[in-house]
Amino acid sequence: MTTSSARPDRLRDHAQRTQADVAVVRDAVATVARSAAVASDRCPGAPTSGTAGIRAAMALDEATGLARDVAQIGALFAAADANVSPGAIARSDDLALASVLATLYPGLSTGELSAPLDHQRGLEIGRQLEEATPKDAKAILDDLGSAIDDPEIAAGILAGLGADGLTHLVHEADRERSGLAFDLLDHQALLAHLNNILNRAATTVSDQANPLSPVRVATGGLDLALIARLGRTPLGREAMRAVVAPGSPTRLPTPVAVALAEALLLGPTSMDDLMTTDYAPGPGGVSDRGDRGSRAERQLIDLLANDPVAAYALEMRHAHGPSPTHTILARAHSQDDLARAAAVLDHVLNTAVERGWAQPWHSPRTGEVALLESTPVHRVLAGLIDVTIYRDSGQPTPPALSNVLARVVDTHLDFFAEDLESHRARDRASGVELTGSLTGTARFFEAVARDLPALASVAATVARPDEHGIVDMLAAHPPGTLDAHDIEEVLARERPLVDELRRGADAAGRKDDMRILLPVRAVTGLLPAAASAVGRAGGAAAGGPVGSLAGGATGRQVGTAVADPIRRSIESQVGHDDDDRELVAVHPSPYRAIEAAVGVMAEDDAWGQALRFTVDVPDIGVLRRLDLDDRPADRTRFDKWLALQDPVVAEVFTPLLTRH
Amino acid sequence: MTLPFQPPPIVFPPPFDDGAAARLAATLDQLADALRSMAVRETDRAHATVVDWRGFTRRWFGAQHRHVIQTLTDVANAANAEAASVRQAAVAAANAQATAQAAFVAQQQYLAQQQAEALAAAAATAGP
Repeated sequence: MTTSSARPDRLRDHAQRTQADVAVVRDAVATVARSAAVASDRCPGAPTSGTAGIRAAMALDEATGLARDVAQIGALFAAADANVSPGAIARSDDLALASVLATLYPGLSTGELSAPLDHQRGLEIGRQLEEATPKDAKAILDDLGSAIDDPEIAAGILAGLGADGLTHLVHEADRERSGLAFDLLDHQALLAHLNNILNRAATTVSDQANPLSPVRVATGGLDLALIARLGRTPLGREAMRAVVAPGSPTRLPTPVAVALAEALLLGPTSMDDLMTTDYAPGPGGVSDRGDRGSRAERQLIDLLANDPVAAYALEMRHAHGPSPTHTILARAHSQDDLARAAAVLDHVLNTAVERGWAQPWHSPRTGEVALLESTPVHRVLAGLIDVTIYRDSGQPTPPALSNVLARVVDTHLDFFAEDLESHRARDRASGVELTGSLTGTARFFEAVARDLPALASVAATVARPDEHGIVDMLAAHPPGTLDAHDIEEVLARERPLVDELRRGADAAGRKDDMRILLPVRAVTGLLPAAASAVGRAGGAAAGGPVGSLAGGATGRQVGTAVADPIRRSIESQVGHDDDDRELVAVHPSPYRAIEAAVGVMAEDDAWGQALRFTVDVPDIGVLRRLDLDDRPADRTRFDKWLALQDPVVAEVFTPLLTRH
Repeated sequence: MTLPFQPPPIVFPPPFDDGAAARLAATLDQLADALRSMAVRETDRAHATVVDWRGFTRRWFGAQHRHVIQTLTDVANAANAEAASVRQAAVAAANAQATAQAAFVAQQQYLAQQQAEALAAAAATAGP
């Protein structure tokens, strides 16, 4: 119990001076009343009812009442501390002061001024519960009636029980219930009581308290350290889940929401805890407890989704280590959960922008300092590309999440452009992680592309023609360690991106928008370019897919060897993946494929000489325009070029053209 | 002699006492000033009062005091608004009075002209 103190003389002086002020202002009120009375007969249409005067009189009554109460509190301190001398500080512990107050001024002993007595009563009840069986505990709480709704009594109950007592009580209730020694309805009623106690006690915590720093409770009120202690052990967490789960989504003071989220959303899941303890599973089995845990988690995510400050504070309090927002996104399984998690993400980023955290970031390309480089917000943004937001189960990403992601990308387009670049740069450097990050990128944009206010912007980011970068990476890969299968795998995983961009464009009514079509085609163009890289890599390596034929082989053999990997790449795109989903066939432009094949031929000693002696390398610009627009004039040029080819050359290109 | 058109009489608005309205507005503004001054003094006083005041009674006082200060400020704003309304009513009454007066003058001129024209017509009919 903490100590109260005050200077009784100052409280008395305060009261006297306030009353003197009130007397002066009452004169002004009386003057207004007289003027209004005169004007009421002589000033038709003017407001002369004296409303302001009446309100002023009521305000002065309030000030007078407060002055009287302050004087009584001063007298109370003087009475509680018999040793206080005039002008000195009087001291008393809270409980004793509240007791004297209840005796001397019973009319004042309500609300905040009776808090120590209420808290004490709660403490005593909590201690009784600590010793009680679940059945007795339920009976004790039943008997409390409406007193259980008093926030201080509720906070006192939790303080009296303590983390260990609450854990024990819930565990015993579950254990007895699993052995059918505790009636189902009584079990539910006990947990409902505890849920109500938690919610009532939470209201003693100021919503204005800084959620970024630990809250110390001076006296009474809910001690948030209790929640933290419960969050440290599997049984404590399970007890807290049991207490949180029965409620309906509600608004709790921000510091409480943050404390609960830290205890239950960032560590092991309910199922993890149940698997690592000997917790009684109950008549419904482990899944029954798992459901309870899921309900609790859902409620806590709801709290964060409805409290932007709490969502932001949770992220900022964990500036080091995994991002809480990512953890919440990764834990979301159902569409509803993802929508809730999306709201949390939205709050974190919006609040960051509102508080100025997200604005200072500038593109490193402009030479400005990236002030967000080391902040949690940067971490949230950067990690979004890697976080698993697309469900492998094939469930579509809910629009709520898509919308948030689209807004995020649209707002921070430069950031994501840079981040994608850095991902790809890392891939190029390591040479082996391309598949993973491209998959993440594809999934990210796949989600974004579903309902796209920012589709065009996102597409423009994707449109960065990167096939040359990928070709370079592939060509630089150690010879013999990469084959067409690797390329096919990469490209197969790129398909959802292309398909989603197309679908997104359709949904947005922008399927003819070149800003969207261009990236789609750019990704489609990866296939022949990548196949070309295979050829080049193989050609440089003894034993590679082309190299084995290159030395002394005929032009026809080399050409066939070049065309085959390309054809295989095309054919392999038609099939089914592990989940038996049909993969969409890739139909690359024949002209881009020919361009790639010619590129490979030109680099082959034997075949390249033959090619150069026969014709010039076809105009790449013409081939690309054919790919995009298929204009008759370009088609004519291409046909003329093809007609001039040696039949051996034409034979190499024929399989590519007949694919279409 | 009957005039061709007899216009309705002009209705004047009821008399408005500008002096009484001005006095009421002034006293309302004075009340607002007094309330604000009191709020300022209360705030200053509270700073001195809470020195060494700790515990649940201090938290209680903080909440009660904020409420009282807010109420005093709100009522001061309401008093200023009421004073402004009184002044607006005075302006509106003066405008109404001026409008009625102008209409009355125009009507009198019209009637005089009609009467002159009627007399002239009668003289012409009677002949030399």
